[in-house]
Amino acid sequence: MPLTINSSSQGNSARLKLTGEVDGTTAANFRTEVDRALTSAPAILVLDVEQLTFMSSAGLRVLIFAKQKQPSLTIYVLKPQPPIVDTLRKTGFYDGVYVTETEPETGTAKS
Amino acid sequence: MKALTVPGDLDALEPIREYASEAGKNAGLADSAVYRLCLAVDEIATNVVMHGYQEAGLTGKLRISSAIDCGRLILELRDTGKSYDPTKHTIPTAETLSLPLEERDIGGLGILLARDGVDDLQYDAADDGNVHRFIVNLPNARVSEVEAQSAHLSDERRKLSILLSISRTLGKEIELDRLLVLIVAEVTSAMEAERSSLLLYDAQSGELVSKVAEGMSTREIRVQLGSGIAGATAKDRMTINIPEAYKDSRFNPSYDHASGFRTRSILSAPITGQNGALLGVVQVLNKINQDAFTTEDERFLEAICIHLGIALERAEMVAAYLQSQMFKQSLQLAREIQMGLIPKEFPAFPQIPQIDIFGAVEPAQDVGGDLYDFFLLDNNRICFIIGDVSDKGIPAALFMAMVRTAFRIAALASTESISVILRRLNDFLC
Repeated sequence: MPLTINSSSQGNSARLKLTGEVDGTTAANFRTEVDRALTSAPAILVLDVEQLTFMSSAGLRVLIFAKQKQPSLTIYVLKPQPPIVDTLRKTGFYDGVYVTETEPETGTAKS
Repeated sequence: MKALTVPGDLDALEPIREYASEAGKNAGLADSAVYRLCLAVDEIATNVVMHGYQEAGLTGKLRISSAIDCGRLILELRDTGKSYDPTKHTIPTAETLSLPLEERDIGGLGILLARDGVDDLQYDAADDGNVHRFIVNLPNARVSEVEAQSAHLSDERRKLSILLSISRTLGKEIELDRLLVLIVAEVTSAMEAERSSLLLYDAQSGELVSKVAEGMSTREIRVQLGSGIAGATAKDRMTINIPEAYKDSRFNPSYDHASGFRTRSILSAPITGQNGALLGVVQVLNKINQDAFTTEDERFLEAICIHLGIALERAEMVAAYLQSQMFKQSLQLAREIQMGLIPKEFPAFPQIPQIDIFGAVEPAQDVGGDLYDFFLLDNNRICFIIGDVSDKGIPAALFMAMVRTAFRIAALASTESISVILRRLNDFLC
């Protein structure tokens, strides 16, 4: 299943809605969209992954690139499916991002 | 599942994940385990495409196949790119995994997920590339399969142990008749049958001759090759498995009628020697607690028959050897009898120096029946006798001894002519 990304922004928050799968093929697209979202240096990046069914380490690397590019960035991962939560936990990413089941209040960035 | 081969580029990842997903579901894995398996395969396939092919400037294919073995699902991913062993790669430590994301190394995560996603990740450098194996232990739903396999193994071990025991038991017995009784008892027990019988092949008559049949009279039964179940087994040198004896036209119920036994199932196998010559047929009757003998029973009885063939051939060789030893002893005894009777001391008549006589027997091959003798009938007559008994061994030697004694008695007791003495001797002998 290919990856579809819908991006939007609101105030200091950028939002990407991911539908499909992030793997070695589609991660490039994911990275492009993240880079584009970060051009305005938002404080918050919300990744709506409710419709994301697969994510390999290629997707995790995009998150590292994002944080390397903008260390102050706060990343919310919204409504991840259980296997993706599992991946985030195993790789230590669970502690580096905010995993949430509810829409984050944008503007309350954690330092 | 049929193996899947796709070009070794990034477009391969999705079909490979779909393959892994289907294999995992078919094997009964839970959804979460299927996902982890797909992730593991995806991570390695990505590495192969990126590093094994693209970075190395190579092109090639990816082939994925699946198998279930010993309660494990095994996916095998093959490629022909640059070699890379993920099992040698160091994976991130707990310490590095807890670093802030911006300080994290981008490497090693894929290997971590690949190794974490399966119970075992194996790598082999093949002649033409790399082989990765993703192994997942199947859940409880598949344990019965594993147990069945282990029960099968323990049954194999039991059979092997029985074979060794038969081999040992039969090896101790060299006397044929006792060996045959032992064979039948061992076969009945090993095959978990109610009875067994053994027929030996008589090459001279071309018949099978019953030697031992449990529960039967000792009356000898002779069976033509091709006749009945034993005859068919012998003729075709093929194992015959009959689940219901009374439904088989070859079955002869008269033995049941005579013995009161009720034959249900029959397994009949030929015993052959090392050169393939037919030695006999062994039949086992009525599998205990089961309706019929299985194909595994067939193979097991055939394995036992190899040992029976060896034991029978050995017993025959021993019997032949003993016979030859007995024959040699008989020749020796015959020689002693013969040599003990013929005059050997010379001069034969030292008191009569005028008579100068010498005799000797030099057997060419067979000993026993040749004779010469001489003795004085009176002061004026000497009697010579030369004879040849048409036999050999002890019987001939004894006959020779009798002829010699009878002739002496007849000759010494008579003053009649030699022709009368010979006629009288002839009347006595015949």
